[in-house]
Amino acid sequence: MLTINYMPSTSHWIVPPIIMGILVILLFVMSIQRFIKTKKENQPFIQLKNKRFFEENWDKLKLFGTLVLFILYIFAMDVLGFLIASIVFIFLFNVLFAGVMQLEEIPKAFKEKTYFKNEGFCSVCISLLIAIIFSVGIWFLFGEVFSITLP
Amino acid sequence: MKKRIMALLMAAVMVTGLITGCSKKEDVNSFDGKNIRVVIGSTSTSGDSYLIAETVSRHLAKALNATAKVDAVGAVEAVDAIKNAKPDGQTIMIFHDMTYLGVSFGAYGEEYSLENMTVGPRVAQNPGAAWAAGVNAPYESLQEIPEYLKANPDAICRMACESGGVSHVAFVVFYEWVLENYGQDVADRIVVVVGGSTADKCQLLWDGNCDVIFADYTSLYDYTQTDDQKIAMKFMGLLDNIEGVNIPSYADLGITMNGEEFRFSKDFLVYLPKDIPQEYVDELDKAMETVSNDETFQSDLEAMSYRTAYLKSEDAKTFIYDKRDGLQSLIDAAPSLDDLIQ
Amino acid sequence: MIEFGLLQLIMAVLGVGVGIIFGALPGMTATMAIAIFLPLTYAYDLNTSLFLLLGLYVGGISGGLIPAILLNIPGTPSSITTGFDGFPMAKRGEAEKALKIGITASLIGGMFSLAALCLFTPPLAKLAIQFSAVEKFLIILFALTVIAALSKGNMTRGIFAGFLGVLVSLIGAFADNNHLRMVPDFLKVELRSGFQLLPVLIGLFALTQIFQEAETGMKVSKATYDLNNNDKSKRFSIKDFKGQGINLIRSSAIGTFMGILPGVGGSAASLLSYSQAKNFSKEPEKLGTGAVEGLVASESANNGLTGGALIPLLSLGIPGDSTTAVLVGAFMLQGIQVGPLFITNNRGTWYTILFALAICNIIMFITMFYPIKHIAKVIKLPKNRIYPVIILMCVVGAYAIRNGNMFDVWTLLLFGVIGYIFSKINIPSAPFLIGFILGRDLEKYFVDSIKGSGGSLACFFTRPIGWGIWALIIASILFAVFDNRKARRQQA
Repeated sequence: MLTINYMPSTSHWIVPPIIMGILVILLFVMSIQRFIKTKKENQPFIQLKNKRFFEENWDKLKLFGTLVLFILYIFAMDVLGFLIASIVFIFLFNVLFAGVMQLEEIPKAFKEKTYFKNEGFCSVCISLLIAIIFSVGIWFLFGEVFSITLP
Repeated sequence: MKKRIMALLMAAVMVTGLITGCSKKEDVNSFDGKNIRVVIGSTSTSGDSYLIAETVSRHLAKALNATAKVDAVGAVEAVDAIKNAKPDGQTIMIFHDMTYLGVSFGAYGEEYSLENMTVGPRVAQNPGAAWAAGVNAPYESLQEIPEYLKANPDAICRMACESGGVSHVAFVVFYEWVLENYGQDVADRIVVVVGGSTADKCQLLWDGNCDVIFADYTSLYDYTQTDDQKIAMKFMGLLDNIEGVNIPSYADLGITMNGEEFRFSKDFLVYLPKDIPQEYVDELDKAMETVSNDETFQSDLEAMSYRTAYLKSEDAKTFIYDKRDGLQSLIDAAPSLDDLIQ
Repeated sequence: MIEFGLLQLIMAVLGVGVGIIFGALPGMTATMAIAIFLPLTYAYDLNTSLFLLLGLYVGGISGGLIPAILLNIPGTPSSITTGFDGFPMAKRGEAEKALKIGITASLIGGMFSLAALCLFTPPLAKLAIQFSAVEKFLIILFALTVIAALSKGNMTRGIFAGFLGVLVSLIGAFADNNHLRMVPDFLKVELRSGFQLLPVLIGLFALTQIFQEAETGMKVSKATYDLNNNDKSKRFSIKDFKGQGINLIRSSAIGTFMGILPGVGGSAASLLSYSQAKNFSKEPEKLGTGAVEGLVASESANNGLTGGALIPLLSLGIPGDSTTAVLVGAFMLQGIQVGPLFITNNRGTWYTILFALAICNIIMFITMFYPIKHIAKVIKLPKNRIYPVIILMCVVGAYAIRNGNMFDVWTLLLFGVIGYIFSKINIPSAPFLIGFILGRDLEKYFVDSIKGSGGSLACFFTRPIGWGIWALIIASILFAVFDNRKARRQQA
């Protein structure tokens, strides 16, 4: 029967190599499976032509906007504290998801004095409202009532 | 598209700038009225670290006129929090000897050594570390183990302890003592089993994978009282005497370190960020002294078989530095666990 | 003998209510809720506090089904499998029905485990300590076979994802010797205890979903889910449980037993019971597409955990899962030692625990079952408004999981991105997560086993209970392979 050499000082490297070995074997099996399949269908093994990483007409702004905002949000919490950073960034996330175009409506709404009749203006207000209500709500409930440590 | 992203970013940056500009903090070097975050070097809320820190903070907060909350963050996380915390009295640590043992054993780096923090008062002691064996083991105390091994040349004794902790120290002291007094052959038949939590070690004992385990006195007490032979245990020795408990300690058994008496209690101290103004330390000393004289505080600790052990910061610092340096030579000279397993 | 008055009732209701909130918010867990309330219990006597703490426990475990069903984001690790069938049901317009089935199954699971706690505590605890590291390793392996059952039609990929999850879970220090592995130098402190489960979980489920929606422009889908339909088949009725009797008992029993086994994580309960529901099902291909069976299996098992985990705690002093481990603190703070003599020495407290657990389960059912149809409306809110709030909660939860650690928020983001990339290169996230959850235990018990045997692997084949588990593992794998073939043939 197979034995494994157990030493306390090296015991942290017993299991990871086994798992890595299994992963390599699985990779090998997967490539064989693919090889058989592509051979059967007479297709090349590596096929990059019709592959695309992103969906068609993908929304660059929203996808990368989410990523960038999230990173900035983390840094902002360190600098500003939880409450203020959250209000600002939840508002920004809201605006980003609802459509940045709406921001252009704000000066228009002020100029035309349409305010709440203007859809974009309304939407931005809702964003602000959500940001404030939930940030303050969560800050109060968890930070104050339950005294969870917040950033 | 680019313009819009820029506009969004600008908006974010501007708001950020505005708000930081407005916020200003008053600088009074006192805990008074503050929210103190008490980090501890354990993630468990049932171990001695949490129980002592929680009891101390509850009383201390009252004396300081502040609020305190214990955050069980884990060993390296706690020392890291103290290293990086602002010295504004909003973050303190209450922790036992692992604070320096982690560095002594090389589990984490020199940047977390005692020199890089401020030592506060000593707040409590847990004397309750104990060795226990299955109830039917052929020895009644630690001292009888080498005698038994000497009489039975084929026998071995497997002792479960954690690597790099108090139990490691306790084991090494015992091992060195056996080596010195009974010779290599007997010492060779004392074998280490590396175990984790108390539950893990109990399971090792019950499975017959070890003979003696190391844990807190209180957590094992019930097992020594039960009739169930499968799980029953008996105490083999304490690291230090506990008031009102009639079990011999290393000192009683004559187990010595380099010929000198060895006692080890877990000392719980407050640790503060390195550059903290002296006012905080003085305030803490004063409050802790008041708390230590409070009878409800004493009885709260005693209920969990811990004890008050107030030392003011200055003395606590000398004490803990000496304790660390005393153990360092032992740890340096100790054989590697690799050589102590079967 | 049992003190029960208005104060205790209020405590129980408060506990259950807050517990449900913690369970339902992605990123908050029952464990966290209990840890927060622990210091507060000092103000009351132990018996009164128990109503609060057990309420938090029951509520916290149950609340997780709400976001799992409505948003496909498990609120707690133990409700991962709830979303597999709950979310497809919600998409079909059966959200309320799914929620009510889940809640009812939870109640049954909770009551089943309470009965076990009440009647069989000493023998079950004795059985539990017969399970050595070897058996525990095999049980974890058995729970891992759920991966094979899940990745129908694409088994190799699923298994690959699972082992990748195991590997990632091993990053950090190994508890036995405190040595780091697979950790870059600059993250030595942050990654010492590895990636935390909760941020990984909500990253893979919640954040990935947000990234995917962001990519497609987060189009507001107007009322695709009709909640107020009059179609009777889409409404909850007790008839939905027809034919689920055996499933209920089996799942509750698996949940309870997983709770009893110390050191085997709670999430293994619902995973195992889900895979067994699939193996025993007459129509296994339907699981994962909105089958009542799967939902029942998952929810009755995770509530079965509650009573089960208390068994070794109260009879041996060894907590059955991480949540009950926190409960120990409540006893200790009051100077009461939990160990083998606990029940004999503290009769009153023991009866209070049984009673409180029963009351809390009932309160959980009442407070969830009736208002749930209003909560179900969350599904109709526009995504672009919900997602920012989810981001906020995830951030708070990730930060709070280790009591204030910003690295865990980075973990959340990292695994959000990883999950997004996985979805692009066809690596399933669920098996990865399951591997991640079970990885550390798998390693621990493997190393513990060979430690006991002096390095020989023969130890895995020499114990009778072990043979039984091996038989189950092999049966489970064979079944999955067979199912996989069938699915492939259907695809072709």
